[in-house]
Amino acid sequence: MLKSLIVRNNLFTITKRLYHPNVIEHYTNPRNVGSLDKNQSNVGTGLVGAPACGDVMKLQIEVDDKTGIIENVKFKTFGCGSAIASSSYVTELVRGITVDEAAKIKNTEIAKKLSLPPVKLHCSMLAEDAIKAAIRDYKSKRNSTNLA
Amino acid sequence: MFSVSSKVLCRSRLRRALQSRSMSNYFKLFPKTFPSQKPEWAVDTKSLRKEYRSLQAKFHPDANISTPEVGETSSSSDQSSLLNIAYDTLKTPLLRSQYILGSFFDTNLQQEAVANKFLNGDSNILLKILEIHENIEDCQDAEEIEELNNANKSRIENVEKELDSLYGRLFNGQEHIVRDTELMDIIAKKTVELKYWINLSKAIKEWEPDADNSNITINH
Repeated sequence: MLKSLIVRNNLFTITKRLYHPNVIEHYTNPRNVGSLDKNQSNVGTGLVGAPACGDVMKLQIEVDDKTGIIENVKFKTFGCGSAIASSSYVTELVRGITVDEAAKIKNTEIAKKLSLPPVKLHCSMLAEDAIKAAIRDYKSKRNSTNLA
Repeated sequence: MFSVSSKVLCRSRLRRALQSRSMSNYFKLFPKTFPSQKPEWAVDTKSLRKEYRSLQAKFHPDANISTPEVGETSSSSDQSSLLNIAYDTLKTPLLRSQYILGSFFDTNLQQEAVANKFLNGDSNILLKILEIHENIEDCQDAEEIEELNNANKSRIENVEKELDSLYGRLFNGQEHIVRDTELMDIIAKKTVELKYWINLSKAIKEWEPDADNSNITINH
């Protein structure tokens, strides 16, 4: 799928880089694509970008205020296959767990599951940033409504 | 629905590989167009194309088939592909800006950590980018996509104009190169922005009408 040209010993060798089946699975069949109402008080929105690639990722969580459990999650990613797969996978990870548990998710977990090559590690970091930003947004909304 | 930028990725990797092999001053490869051999923003594209073609005629592997010594073929094909990359980089504003910042100002915008510094905190621009991507995704007909395309084209033109004047200030007058961190930061930020608009124009190019509600008639 992805051909890369590598300069080696003054010779150009063409190698084919294949995505891991898990990436292809999530890319061709992404889970939880879409949007939630960002104005709802129990919806947290994380919007992050990978400016070097020109990618943008939006991840939203809908939280049960009483239990803190993430009941619904949606994402939209405009970027490469690995970025889409990373965000798709992270939505599967966080559904049904509490926001505090979700905040502990590390990009290494995503990268390992999808077997991302080193050049694509930043895609998994983007997914980690996105869920953290969504949680931050949810918590700040909650704090402001509690104060009011 | 989504765009994959794998082609762009491997080109940029090749470019980086070549840069790391210390052939880094592309301006020196075209001495007629850039007599000062120093980084410049304004490019005489006609002259550059002419010089590129005449150099390529010299270095292209197809022009070098006369019993080469061992090792020579590869260096001539290396030279030829280096010329391709250098030409492509210098003639394209986004790539030229990235190259100048990376090679002469220690600001490699192809690294996420570096590029992020300049986007930092600006969620407004991300919101805008997301919104345009969604508009492209929801777009129903060719007329609508044309509108989006025109709007994006003018965004690209505007940023390129801004870069013209910013680089003008940077390279202006005195012996190269006065270090003005504030100016550099603005240039880097504008370049990051330009990258996003260029990606959007790729998304627009890849847009296809939905099979369901397309009313394209084919005339044979």
